[in-house]
Order: sequence, then structure tokens, then C-alpha cells
Amino acid sequence: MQKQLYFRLQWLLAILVALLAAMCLTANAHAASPASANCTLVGTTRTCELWAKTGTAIIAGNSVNIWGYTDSASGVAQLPGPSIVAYQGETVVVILHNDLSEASSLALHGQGLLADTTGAPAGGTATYTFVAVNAGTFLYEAGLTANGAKQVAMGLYGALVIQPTTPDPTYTNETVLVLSEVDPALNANPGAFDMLTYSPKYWLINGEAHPDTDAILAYAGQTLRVRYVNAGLTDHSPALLGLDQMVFAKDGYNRPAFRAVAETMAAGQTMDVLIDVPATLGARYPLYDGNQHMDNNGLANGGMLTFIEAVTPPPAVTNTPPAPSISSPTDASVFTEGTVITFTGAAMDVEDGDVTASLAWSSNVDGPLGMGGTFTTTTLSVGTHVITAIATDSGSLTGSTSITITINANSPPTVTISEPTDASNFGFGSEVTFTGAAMDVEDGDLTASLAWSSDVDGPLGTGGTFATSALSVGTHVITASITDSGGQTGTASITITIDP
Amino acid sequence: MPSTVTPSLRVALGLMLAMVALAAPGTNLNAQTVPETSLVCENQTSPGVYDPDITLTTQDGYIGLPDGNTVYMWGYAYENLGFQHPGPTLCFTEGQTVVITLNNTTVPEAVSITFPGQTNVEVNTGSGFVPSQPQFSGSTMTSLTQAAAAGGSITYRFTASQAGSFIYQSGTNPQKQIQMGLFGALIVRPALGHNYMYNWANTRFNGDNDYLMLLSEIDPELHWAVEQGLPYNITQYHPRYWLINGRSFPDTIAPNRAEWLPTQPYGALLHIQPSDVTLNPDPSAVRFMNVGMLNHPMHPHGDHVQVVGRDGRPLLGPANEDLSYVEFGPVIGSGQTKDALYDWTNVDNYSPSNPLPSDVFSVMNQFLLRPRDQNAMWGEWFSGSPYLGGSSDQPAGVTNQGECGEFYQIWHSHALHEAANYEAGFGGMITLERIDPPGGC
Amino acid sequence: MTQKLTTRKFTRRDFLKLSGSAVAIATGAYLVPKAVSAVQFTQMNAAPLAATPLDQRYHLAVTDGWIHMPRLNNGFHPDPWAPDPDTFNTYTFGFRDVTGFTDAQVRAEKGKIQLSSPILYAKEGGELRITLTNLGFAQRPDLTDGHTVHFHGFPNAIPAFDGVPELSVGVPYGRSYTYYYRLHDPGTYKYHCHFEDIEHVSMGMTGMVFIRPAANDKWAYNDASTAFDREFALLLGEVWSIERFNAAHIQEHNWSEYDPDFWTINGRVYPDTLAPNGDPMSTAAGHLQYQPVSSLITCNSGEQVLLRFSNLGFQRHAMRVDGITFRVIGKDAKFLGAQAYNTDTVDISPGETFDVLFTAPTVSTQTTYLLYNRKLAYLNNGGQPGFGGQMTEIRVSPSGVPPQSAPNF
Repeated sequence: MQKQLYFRLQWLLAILVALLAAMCLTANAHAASPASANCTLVGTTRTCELWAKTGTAIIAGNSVNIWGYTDSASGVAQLPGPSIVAYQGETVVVILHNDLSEASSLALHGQGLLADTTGAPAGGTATYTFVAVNAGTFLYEAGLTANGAKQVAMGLYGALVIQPTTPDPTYTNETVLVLSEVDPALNANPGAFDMLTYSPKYWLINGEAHPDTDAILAYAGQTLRVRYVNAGLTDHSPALLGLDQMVFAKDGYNRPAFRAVAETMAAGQTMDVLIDVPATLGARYPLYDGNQHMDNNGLANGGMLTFIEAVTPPPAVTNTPPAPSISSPTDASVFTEGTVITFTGAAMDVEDGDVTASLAWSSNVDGPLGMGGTFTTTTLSVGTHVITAIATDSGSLTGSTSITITINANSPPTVTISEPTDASNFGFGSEVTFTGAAMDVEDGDLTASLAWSSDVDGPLGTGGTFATSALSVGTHVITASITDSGGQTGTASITITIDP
Repeated sequence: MPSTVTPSLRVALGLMLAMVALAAPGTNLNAQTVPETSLVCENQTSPGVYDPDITLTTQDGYIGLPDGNTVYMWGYAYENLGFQHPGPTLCFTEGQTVVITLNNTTVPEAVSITFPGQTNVEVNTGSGFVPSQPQFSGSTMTSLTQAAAAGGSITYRFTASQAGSFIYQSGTNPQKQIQMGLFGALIVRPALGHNYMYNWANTRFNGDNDYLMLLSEIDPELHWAVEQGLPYNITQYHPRYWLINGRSFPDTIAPNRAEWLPTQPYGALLHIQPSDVTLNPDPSAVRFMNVGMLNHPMHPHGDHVQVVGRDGRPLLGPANEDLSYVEFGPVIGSGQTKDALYDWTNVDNYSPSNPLPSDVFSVMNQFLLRPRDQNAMWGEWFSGSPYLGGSSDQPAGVTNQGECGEFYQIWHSHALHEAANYEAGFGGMITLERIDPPGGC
Repeated sequence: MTQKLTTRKFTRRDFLKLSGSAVAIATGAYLVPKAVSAVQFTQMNAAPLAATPLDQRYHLAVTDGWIHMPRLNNGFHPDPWAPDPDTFNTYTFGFRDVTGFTDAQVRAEKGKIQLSSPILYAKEGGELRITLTNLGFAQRPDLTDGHTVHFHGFPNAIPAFDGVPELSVGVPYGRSYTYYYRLHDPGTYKYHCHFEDIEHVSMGMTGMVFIRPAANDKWAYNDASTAFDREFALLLGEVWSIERFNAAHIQEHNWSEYDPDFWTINGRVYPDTLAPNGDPMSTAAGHLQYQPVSSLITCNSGEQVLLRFSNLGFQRHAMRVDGITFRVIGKDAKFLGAQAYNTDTVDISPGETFDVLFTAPTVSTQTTYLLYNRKLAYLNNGGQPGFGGQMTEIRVSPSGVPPQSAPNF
């Protein structure tokens, strides 16, 4: 198995291919997979509508009456019907419009629904709702109303595909192959036909017999998933020449996977396989019914036969990771705990351009720090930090860069008051001289910023020494304090009394 | 209505000759001496040595069915030998580069060979080897691979990179040509050893007990139309004969190279001894293949088979988990092969010294029969004793086909109308398993 | 290497030497085993399921009879020689459970088979005896067919009890023979006659047999993950109306034209598959008197239900269920263990068996799930409009369905 790293892009491509396929549809042409039904998605509810109609199909050059589904009121019956495609977890609502002249119901297999034996009357509608619990490949068909068996044999069937929500990395491309049969005697006169005489003359893949079957264009050198749906009334044994297939699911349930060249599917069963397609461009590998149904009503070289053709895979999408840079602080900077540190960086991406806003900063010690091109912090813990900035582009690729900075512990400043002495007395109006000092291990001499205050008179002055005669009468607690650059505060206090 | 075919002289001859240690080689076939049972590798030059560079021609001829009918067939023939059905069983050792030249000497239309399960098959139509590719006329495929025109030649080449059991068959007008007999078996022996089915220790088998079970059907109307040069519509396909290794029962139990079946050289009799840890520790290999248009639900009496491979791929999961399984109803789908191991164990070991309860196996009531009823009630392959190796007197008028009190079990399609020669029961897709007492007869 | 051929006539002395029971031989009576347990349906309704005995003995009678299929009016069916065109109108061969019957009672069942044949079961580690008595055919006194019992899939079988007459013995008209098995391997098997088996099997001589594991009667295998609250045997088959006519009217028959008109589960076609279990000794079931095995599956929410599928027809069938997930835990009487898988379709070919477990969904009111053959060309009765054939229902109730007294109840 080969893996591809692009997740979202695979989905974009799948949608693109489906759109392209839809645009190429004519009334009778069939893409390698049946076209998908037009459904509308609102929130997590997907609503699809099917019309059961009479119509005709050209099978091996013969016009045959069929009954088939289409996804619009004005559409023509398709053989097989359009695929219903939904995603795991969605609520799916399917509205059946019965344009036949008899009751008809829908059977949406594998979704936990009861068999509907009543259905919609001729001209009526019936609605079916289920939650797509499991991803996988399923069959939908006319249900077991009284004439349900003939309705299925007349062509009322299609594939029901529930896609996983995250792409499955084990394959890069997929196709749906609906296998079925046609007994033209039934189609010519379904009302009178005795089902005991059912004897198919045409053997179909996606509603066509070779040489009208479409080739399966598979990516050379990559793994193809085939979703087989056996809508026929008998078993079939899809076989390969030059390749083998890894069978991993039946009826939409995973099984222990095994390799085989041909494997039998019961009537009404689905089967999922992975095929490793070799790298040789243009090589064609027959895919056919091991029961050898390779004829069109007895004419040789027809029937249930198509080819896997190895084609150039879409170009691998290059996505360069973004390149971030840190402009500040510089590598090996040292800071004191508590100081304001400003981080500034930028990130450029070849495909996306400026992705600076995606920058996520973190410390290997303190964890996430902040987002974006610049931010500040004062709370880095003491120690050595590896600061990493990671940028992410739209393809989910990342780039990172790192610096190392050191945060030193911050000692609080030491404040001393040398004068006046504690418990001194002064007369009211006399000049009192205050002298002190503030020393900080990290910041050095902070004496000039020493702030003096009285618990009675408030702020008194600043600096190492100053005098004042304006103190009010009473007992004052004089505090000299200083805050260092790291936010630590040192204080000293004395008590003096001003006598009246 | 007694629709059981009274065993014929053919059967009696068959089993008498089965007692001969080695069957005489058929005059029309590869002169190597082959054992009476177990598959024959036509391209074996000495034991376990296979010629990887061989030539096949196309021939036509007739095969015989036990109801006396003969059917016109086409077939691949080995080197300069004559018509045989099925085509020669070819054996190779893993890693050999296989080169098969096809000279389409006899069939009046283009013939090819496809090798389902092989990869990177190349073809030389005269100007060097190119990849095997389907051939087209406009958008209509004319052949699943390059073909040799009537009277022409073509060479196929591939590396036998996968051990296992494979089919080879025509890819041109396959519905007609495969039905007419253009098919055969292709065995690739693993590097681990010729007595393993895969490079997987658990697939070791007793090298003397390597059994091919190649299943096919015959619609005699199609063959008659081809013989007469008349058109035939495949939608009218209605098989009447059911074959294992190109024969219908009771011919299936005749030995390889039975002289009275000169164009049908392969038997399908299993000839084993009970499983025993010391005397007989390894099971038999059984290689089921189905080239018919219908699935065939085989049923071995005696014991389950252990399925170890499908289409030449071992049943091992991505982390080498053992995905083999055991079944008594191996269904062989169209175009598929199934590799299995088989043994029979004398679990309860009933014997005169370890007898059955006295109230069971009361055969005395069968003695008092009108002579004409006895043959239907007392089996020709029944020793008369329930014990392996035992025997008892036989009722008057019964011809015993056994040798030394061995057991016989039947293997057959459980779509029971296929266990018939046309409408006559106890024929068709049936063979027997013969269990000798330990040490053999 | 000489053959042991003999043309020596048997003396009475030899005869007695082997038989061990002079009296029985002198009177020409068959040996009636001591009945330890019986699978009479009349007994099943009353008592809850008893433990499976280690010494299990059945006495089966083989004969012919008439069963019911919906009228085809195709010139062959209903058979003009049938007792009644609307009730017992289809000629059939089969087995009857006569365990415990007296000699006279056994003989009274000549011409009265049941389709499908009685469900047999026994216990791993124990023994099973099946005594077969050939009563002959009431409709075909000219036929001296023997009969046998082939225990299909019995591992390491010995020919004496494998039931292939050409390789052992057949049971002649008026005689009995006791088959004997020591049981080592639990699982779902089947039995059928192997005398002229193309005819006898398609004419109806087919039934189910299962071996309960030593650990627990209500497990499928010796593994707690195979525990079940209810079990149902579902034996698939086909009926070919022309063959039935030919058999009754002493006409040669071409098997290569095999082309059935009816598809059966436990011997019945839909909607008869839904009718309750019955008893061939009672007329209460009307036209289903001789088809006493029901295929209706009833259960309570949350219960584990075991379905034992088996196919003794000649065609491959695709039994599909809508709305319930099946878990395949056994195949051909082998526990799958880690290889068990979920499915919606039991793809079953002739000769296979499958053990399927499902958990009855949580429902607030009785809810019906359909189980049917997705080979839609067969899902009818003789090609007539409407559904028929191999279809039955799984009816899940929130609660209140009483415990099973026997399989299929």
C-alpha cells in the first residue's frame, strides 16, 4: 500500500472529478462510477430525492425497457440508479417519488432500517431516514413490496456509499462497480413474466455490457479501492487478470483481509477490495466475471467485462513548510525574573505568504506562552528556557525555530534607614533629615529612587537623603521602599514622634 | 427406482489395477513413471526438478464418460505428445522463469493461454517480449491476452513468484474454449520446500499425498456442435457431466495413466493413512480448482479440510496472522482455487480390543436378503468390519473391492445432481478417499 | 495381496455369533433401543428445555408420505394421487421420530413422514445412537430402496456409521440399524439419507443435528462469547414438483434437468414458515401436520439469538436480513474465534452450515424484521405472484416472550 500525505486535497480532487464527471453526462453515457445523486446538506442532515420511473436503456445495442431511479423529477431512469453518497455520522433522508404504476418502496441496506413492505403507492412518496453509523459500501434497491422482486430485476437499484469523515490513507482513488443482469424476456413483459423462468442474457457492469463498459482509470503505481455492489439475482465472482485484490469488507462490514484473484459475492451483497495498480502507464488489466459471463445474449466478446487502465496519477501537491524567525529577544539573553520580556517573531510560507499570525510560542519549562507576531510576559519562571515558535500553513505543515534565554532569580532590594534613629522625637516645625539607602543585587544602587512615606502624612520624598519640617504632630511610621526592576520590593521602617 | 449404477467391470478393473504399485505409463503420454495417485507434474525431469521452458500444442480428441458416451474435446498437449484432458499439470519452483511456447497446431481458431494469479506475464508474438495485454478489434475485446492464430505460435513468459495452485486456461473466446477443454493446472512450489504449499511452516504436507481436484463441467451439446461445425448459443449452456481432473466417477478412482482411459490421465483418488504423530505426522495437500461456469460445493466425508490459500495466495493477514480456517463444505467458486490440508485421525480407535458397544452396528439383519438386494445394501467397498483393517465374511453375491480392510470415504459435490453421469446417480463429481491401516496394506 | 472374496453361505451359527440377540432375530423384529430421551414436539411445549443427556438415543423411522405445498396446477402438482389436492398434496420421503414407540406404533407411521426431519441434538463428551428402521414406502411398494443416516460433517467419521451404502451398508426394507457416535466436536451439523442420495435428499430426507458443547448447553461452542438465549435451526431446501410426481408415479427422472419450484426453510414455504411448531401425531396443524418445524424467530430485546443455518438443497442461497446485524461465529461446526465477522447476508451453499448470533434490538413495541433469500427469482411459490419460498420473520418484543422449551420454539 502506498500512502499519500495530502488529506484535504484528496477530497478536493474527488469532488473535482465528480463534478467533471457530472458535466460529461449525457442521457446514456456512464462514467466509470455511476453519477452521484444530487443531495442537499444542511448542517449534518443530507437529503436526497429519488424518482422511480420507467424508461429504456441501450444494452449491447438493444433497447430494453427498464425501471430505474433518477435524482430529478424530469430525469430519465438510470441503470444503475445514481449513487447515494453520504458521510459517516450524517443523518440521511431519502425521499422516494414513485412514478411507477404500482406500489414501490426503498431498501437502503445496512443502515438498520426495517424492510418496507408497503412503500409509496403509485404516484406517491415515501421518506426514509437513517444515521450513517458505519462507513462502507451498501446496496439500495426497490424494497419488498408485492412486486419488489421484479422491480429490482427491472433495474431499480444503485449504490449507497458512506464515506469516512477522514480520508482513508490506504488508497488514493476508488470506483463503484454495480454488477447486475438483464433477462430481456422479463423487461419486455414484466407483468406476465414467470420469475421461475428468469434466465439472464445480459451481464452488466454499471448498467453496460462490454464493449460499452467503461474502463476504470486507476492511478498507476497507487492503490485503487473498488466498491463492488451485486444488484443481480445471482452470485458473481469478479476476477482479475494480471492483478489480485485484497478483500477487506463484505456488506459494508470489515473482515480479516485476504488476497484473492476472484471472489464470489452473493446476490445482493457488496464487497470492498484494494487493488495495487502497477506503475506502467497505459497497461490494461481485465476485470470480468469468473463465471465467464462474457457474452451478449450468446454473442461472444461481451458481457461482464471491463479493464483497469493505469493512468497518470494527479501531480503530487508540494507544500513547503513555513519558516519562522525570532527577532527578539536575542538568543542567550538573560533576564531577571519578573522583568517585562517582549517576544517578537515572523513566519513566511512559500505558498501562503505571511503566516506570522499562526505563530505559537512556548517554553519547554512553562508551556504555551502566547500567539502571533509579538507579545510580552513577565511571568517566566526562573531557569533556562528553550523558547520555540511554531508556524502552521494551510496544508497543516509546520515550521519551528527556537532560542534559549535564562531567567535569573530576582533578589529583593535591601533598604536601610540611617537617620533618624528609630524612636526619635522631634519638635513640631523642626527640620527632620531622612537618610537611607537601597541596594539591589541585580539592579545595583537604587538609592536615588528610594520612596519615603509616612503613615500619617503620606509620601514624604524620594532619594537617599532629604529634609522636611512639615511633619504633623503625632507618631509616624516612616517607610522607605523601593521596587527593583524585577518587581521585588524592599522596605525599611522606623517610628518617630513629632511633639507639639 | 434404482438409479444407482451397478458397479461395472470398469470399476473392478480399476481397483484391481490400483493394487499394482506403479501404473504402467500410457502409450500416448509422458513416459515418466508416475504413482497411481497424487498429482503428476508433466514437466518433471527428475524428482522435484521441473523444466521451466516447455512447449504446449493444441490437440483434439475424445474422452469417455462412465455412461458410455464420448465427448469431443480440445486440449493443450505436452511437448510432442497427444491429446489429453485436462491439459498437462505443470509444476514450477518459486522463482523460476517460466517460458511456455504454444503451437496452435489443431484448433481451427486463435487460442491463447492466460495465467490468472500470475503477474507481469509477457508475450512474444515473434518480435520480442511485450506485456500480456487484452486484444481488441475496435472497442471489442477479441482475447484476454495475445493469441496464436490457427497454425501459429506464441510464447508466454513470467516469473513464478507466488507459491500456490493456479489455473491456466485460454483467454480467447473463453466461454467456448475453456468449455471445450483448454485448461490445466499450474502448481508453484515454494522455496521453503516442495512438501509445503506456501512459504509458511504450517502448510507442510506429506509429499506422497499431493492431490489435485480440478473441477469442470461438460455440456455435450456444445461439444457436439463444435465437432460438427455448427453454431452454439452459450445462453443454452446446460451441463450434463461433472468432472474431477477430467474424469467422472467411477473413473475418478482409477489410477493415474489408467490404460483404459488413454486421454484422461489423471485420477482423483486420495490414498492416505490415519494421522499419527510419529508414523504419519503430515496431512495431505488438496488443491481445489474450478474452471467451470458454476460454483461447486464440495463435501469431503471423513473430516474437515483446512483451507490455507486462495488463488495462489496464502491466508495470512497483513501482520502474518494465521487466517486459515476449517470447513466440511469447501465451496469452489468459478475461476477460483482453494488450497487445503486434509487428514483423517482414528480418534476413537475402535478395534476388537476396544470394541463398539454391542447394541450398535448390527449388520446381521442385512444378511437375510434376497440376492438381488444384497448389492444395494452391502457396499462393495465395505470390509464388513467397523474396525480399520478388520474384515468379515461377505454376503453371497457381493464382490468386495477392498484389499485389507481399509476404510473408504466419499468426496463429492453437494449440489447432488452433479454427483451423476447425466441422470444416473453415484457418478459425476465424486471421488473416494482410501484410508489404509497404519503402515498400509 | 489377495482379496477377501467369499461365496460361502452363512450358517445360522455365524448369524447368531454376530447378533448376540437370538430372540430378536428369530422374530424378525428390529432392535428398539432403550429410550432415554425423545424429541417429541408434544413434550416440548410444556417443560423448559432439559439438560442435554450424555447418553442420547433416537429411533427414527424412514418412510414416505405427503406434505403440503401451495397448489401449482401445472399438471404435476397437486399430485392427482395425493390424499387431498389442497392439504397433503406433495409426495415426499423422510424420517419420523419414533423414539419410545412400540413396535406396532412404529409400523403405524408408515406413509407419514415429516419434512424437515426431526431436529436431533446431543452433548459433547457423550454418546449418540440413532436407530434407523426402514418401513418402506406406502406409495411405492415396488421400491426396495434401502436408507441410511449420514451425519454430515462428523469429524474423523468411520464408514460403518457414515451412512454411505456403497462404502458400508444400507438399511433394507423392514430392517433396523443403529448408528453410534462418540461426540468430540460441538457445533451445527446436519443429517440426511445417503442411499441414492440425489433422489432421497431432494425428496426430503434431510434434518438438523447439533452437538452442544461440554461447557454449557446454552453456548454454541466452548466459549462464553457464543452464549445464547434462544436457538433456531434453519434448514434450507428445495422442492421440485415434477420430481415428486415422477417418484409417486413410478416414472424415470432426469436429474440433469434439476429445476425446483419451491424453496423451503425447515420444509415449509412462506408464509407457512411463520406457523407455529406442531406434532405429526396431532391434526391440529391442519395442512402442516407433517411439516412440524417452525421458522418463526421470536425473542425479547437484548437477548442473544443463535440461528443455525444449513443448506441441503442443490442451490446456493443468499439469506439476508434487514435491520439487524448478524454475527457469524461458526462455520461448518467450527468456532471462528477471532475470525468471526458481521454480515447482513448468509451466503450458504449446499452442504455448509453457519452459526449466526445476533442481539435482539431494543424496541418499544413488537417489531418485525424480515429474513429472506435475496435470490429474488426464488422468493416465490412456484412463480406465483406475491412472496413465498425462503422467507421468515424475526419478531422482537420489548419483553414477555417466554423462554424456549426446545429449539425453534
